[in-house]
Amino acid sequence: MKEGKEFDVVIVGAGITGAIIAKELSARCKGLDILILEAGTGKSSDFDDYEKYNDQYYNALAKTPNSPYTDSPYAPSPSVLDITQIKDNEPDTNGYFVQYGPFPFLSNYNRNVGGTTLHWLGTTLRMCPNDFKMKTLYGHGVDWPIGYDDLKPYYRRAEYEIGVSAEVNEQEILGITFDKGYVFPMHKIPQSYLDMYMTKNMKGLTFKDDGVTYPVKVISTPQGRNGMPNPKYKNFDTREKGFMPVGAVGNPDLGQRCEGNSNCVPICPVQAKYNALKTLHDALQNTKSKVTLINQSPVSTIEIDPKTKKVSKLHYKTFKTSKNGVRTVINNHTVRGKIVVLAANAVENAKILLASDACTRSNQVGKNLMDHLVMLTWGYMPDDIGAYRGPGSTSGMPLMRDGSFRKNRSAFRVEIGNWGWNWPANTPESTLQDAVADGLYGKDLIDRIKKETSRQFRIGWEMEQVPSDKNYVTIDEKYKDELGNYRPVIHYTMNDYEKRGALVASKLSEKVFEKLKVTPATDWQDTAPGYFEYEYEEDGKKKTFKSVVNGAGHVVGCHRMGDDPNTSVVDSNQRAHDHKNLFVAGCGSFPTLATSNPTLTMAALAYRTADEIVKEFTS
Amino acid sequence: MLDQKNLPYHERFVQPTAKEQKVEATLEKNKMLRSLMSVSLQQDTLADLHEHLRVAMMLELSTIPPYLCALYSIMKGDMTDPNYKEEYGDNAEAAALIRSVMMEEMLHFTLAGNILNAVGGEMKINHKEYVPEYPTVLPDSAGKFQVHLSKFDKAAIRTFLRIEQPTPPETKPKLEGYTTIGQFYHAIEELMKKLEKEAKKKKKTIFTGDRKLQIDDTYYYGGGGKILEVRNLTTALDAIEEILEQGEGSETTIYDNDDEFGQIRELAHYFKFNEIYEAQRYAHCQTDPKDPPEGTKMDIRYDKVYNMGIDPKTEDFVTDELKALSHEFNLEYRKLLDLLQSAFQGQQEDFLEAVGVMYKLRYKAVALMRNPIPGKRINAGPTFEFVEK
Repeated sequence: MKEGKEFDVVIVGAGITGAIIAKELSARCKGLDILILEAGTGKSSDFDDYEKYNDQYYNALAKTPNSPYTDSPYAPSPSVLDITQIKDNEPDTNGYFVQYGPFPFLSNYNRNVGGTTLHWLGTTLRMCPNDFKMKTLYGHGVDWPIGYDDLKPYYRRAEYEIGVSAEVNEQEILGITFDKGYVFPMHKIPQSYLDMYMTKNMKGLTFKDDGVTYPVKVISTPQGRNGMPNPKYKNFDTREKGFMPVGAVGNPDLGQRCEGNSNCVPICPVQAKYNALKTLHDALQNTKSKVTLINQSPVSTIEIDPKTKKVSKLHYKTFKTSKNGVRTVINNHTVRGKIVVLAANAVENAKILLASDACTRSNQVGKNLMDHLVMLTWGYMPDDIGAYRGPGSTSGMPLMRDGSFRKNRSAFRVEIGNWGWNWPANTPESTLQDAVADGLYGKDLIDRIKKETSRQFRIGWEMEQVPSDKNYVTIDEKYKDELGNYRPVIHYTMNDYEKRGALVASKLSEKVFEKLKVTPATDWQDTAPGYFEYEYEEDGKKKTFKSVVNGAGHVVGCHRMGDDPNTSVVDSNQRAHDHKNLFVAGCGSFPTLATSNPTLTMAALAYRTADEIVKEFTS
Repeated sequence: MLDQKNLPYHERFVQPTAKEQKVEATLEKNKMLRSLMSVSLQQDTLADLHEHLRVAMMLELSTIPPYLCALYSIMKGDMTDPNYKEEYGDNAEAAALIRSVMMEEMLHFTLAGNILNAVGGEMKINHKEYVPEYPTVLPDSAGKFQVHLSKFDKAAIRTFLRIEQPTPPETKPKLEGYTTIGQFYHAIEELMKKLEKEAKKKKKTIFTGDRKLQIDDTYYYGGGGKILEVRNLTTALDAIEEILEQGEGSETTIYDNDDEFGQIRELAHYFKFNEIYEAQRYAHCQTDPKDPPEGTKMDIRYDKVYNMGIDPKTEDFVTDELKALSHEFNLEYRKLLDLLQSAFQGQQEDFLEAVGVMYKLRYKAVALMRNPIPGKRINAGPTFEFVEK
């Protein structure tokens, strides 16, 4: 590629946001030259490349979310194995993140072609209308500059692209509405035996909070994985009838339906679960405009023209390692774009902006880092519940995602896990190890494994974190990666608002366990990275609540959207207030986190941004 | 005597070996061959068409167990190898090719079933007379040949080449039996056209089957291409076209014509197997069937294969445990046939259960293949014997 070449659009990051924008532009605009720069490795449409991920996953000793994917010291990804409790004033520099705490940021993401959709679970919940009005309704955080109805048409498009399996009549809850005649592209993924078992055995269970009684009801979760197409599906935009599930990239016969391989995280072996490679593949096939994707090209900075305040250049580096892995060639490059879209992870977008001294007016770049804080509770069911079958989760108890209690404590989404204690206790492997350590073998060993694993049950309580200026990403000359790019320096804490949410979740957990006759087995160490304590008063007595939370991988905030350029980084189209030709897109734009997993909303916002960019080239 | 060297490349395997010639005369009694023979003699009535289509389903089904045996005999990767591949180890490429052909045979089976239902014929998938026995026998333009249940080896691949061999265009159907599979399907086409023409004269149609019985892409997916619903003569002919072209390719190209059906360009079956036989891929730019593969070399490890004996029979398995395991396998096979039967008779959701049964078949087949038969130098294997109820 010619040094300093000008493209019509340069997109930074080949994840779902970048892929959707590239696909939309290349399908709708004629003759554009579009470049996608990706920091990590990986190919966009090579089936063998994905098979390599599968093999790397089989080979990995610790099956962490990033274990199947190639990690490079030149574009490192954070790993959950790096996280520790943070000692006083000593940052944790174990991994890619530099963590000052006082509480560690517990999540990670994936820097590769396809982004974090390579290892996401595939949960595709819409936000509920009240999630957009946290300040007005509950006095916390800020309001979004747009509401549910503004996003509705974009949700539809995102649900088509991702291929969402769900039933409208089950999802019309929490004020969420659908257009007349709308159905999801595919019927819901069959709920697990556990889901049915809980529905049956929790009948009539309610939970009272802030004077309101909430039914505790198991409801299926919308998922971005291939199920049975709904013959009634009609694409509102193209008028096309029916839906054809999209299989594996480069091997479309594979993965047309979820096969229940039960390792959606870290990798769906057949690509029945959506990943952004599918959208990228389409973008690269579109012929109206040309899309070029280059990997191993992390962007370090963008350059701002002091007069026009527009982005004039992007600086990126390339790295190529010799076959024996000994020598790496590093080169500096520049490229120009009429329109520039930062579509990397929220933390990476912030890093680039901070390194470039861009979007400085609001002083909000890097601020308000958020994640769902997941408290896990687990135990033995009295009966065989068929654990370890199907996708990671097929249902939740979503009716407490919103309510007046949000004035006092954070709301939470309740995720019912189908894979036993795999997340908190590394079962079933550890179940086997324990049984062998107890000296069992032969039939006794098999009986013990059967008896224990089939009854292992766990719930995830995912607390919504509110935006806070104590939670932020910054950069520091002292901390750079091997290419000389900044490593994210993170200051982070868990607020009392979220701890109160966890406390209520633990009470609800006890109620659910009691009703289901679950023998509790929740067990953690106070040395765990996510350990916290919360002091409160109950019945006139001082009490301390102790527990552990995990990250959800929902890296949100850092360049929030809003109408006011003094308090927000981008507008509701994800266009930077300060730089007219710059878009900063992704989960980073969320003003508040909501209780839904962020990917579907992020995808919806990407469509909104794509529409805005299309206008630039068609008007 | 033909000069082998002057023959087009794709016809070089046509010549039967001396051994094959020797046994050919004894093959007449084979079940598959007898079925093909008997339908060839009756090509007049709608009942004859039904019988042709049932035999077509049997024919498509008959190739699946041999492909399955080759596929499942391939061992998993060696975990101590740094380039460890979980599924099918060093033979992963070959396995992927065999699997893709097998999936297309399943599609052909389903397409034939859709035609049979469309013309109101009775489904007889789980009837003993329509379940192939092994070794089975198939015809091609060079004669008749046996198809064995065998592990993955070069002889098996050679047989697969014969199964999928393109038909020379000038070969005409013979009354005493179909010389090739292509002829057989062309005879079905002609019979359908003839019967529909006669029916049209009486303002009727032969496509009177219940439309609800048609298998569509709700329940048939991921299996080697697009399923077509058969509603009339045009769609029926399309279905047969898809069967023939996926298999044989044409005289002019090594690729199938699937792009007509909205799919990506794929090698026709014969050429996929030829890649394995030659341990070399076709280069991306190649299209001429006369040229040998000129692309990248392929890893083929015939030693990383379970030593399953040819055409195993349960009664030869010596121990009660192996016999019991074999019986379990055959019960699952019977269950699969029963589920397919009911799926084609309107219980389409039985396809979902059939998927689970196919996985069970795989596990049990591999369990058999891992076990040596005491006192013999071979391992056991799936026998695909029909279990009476």
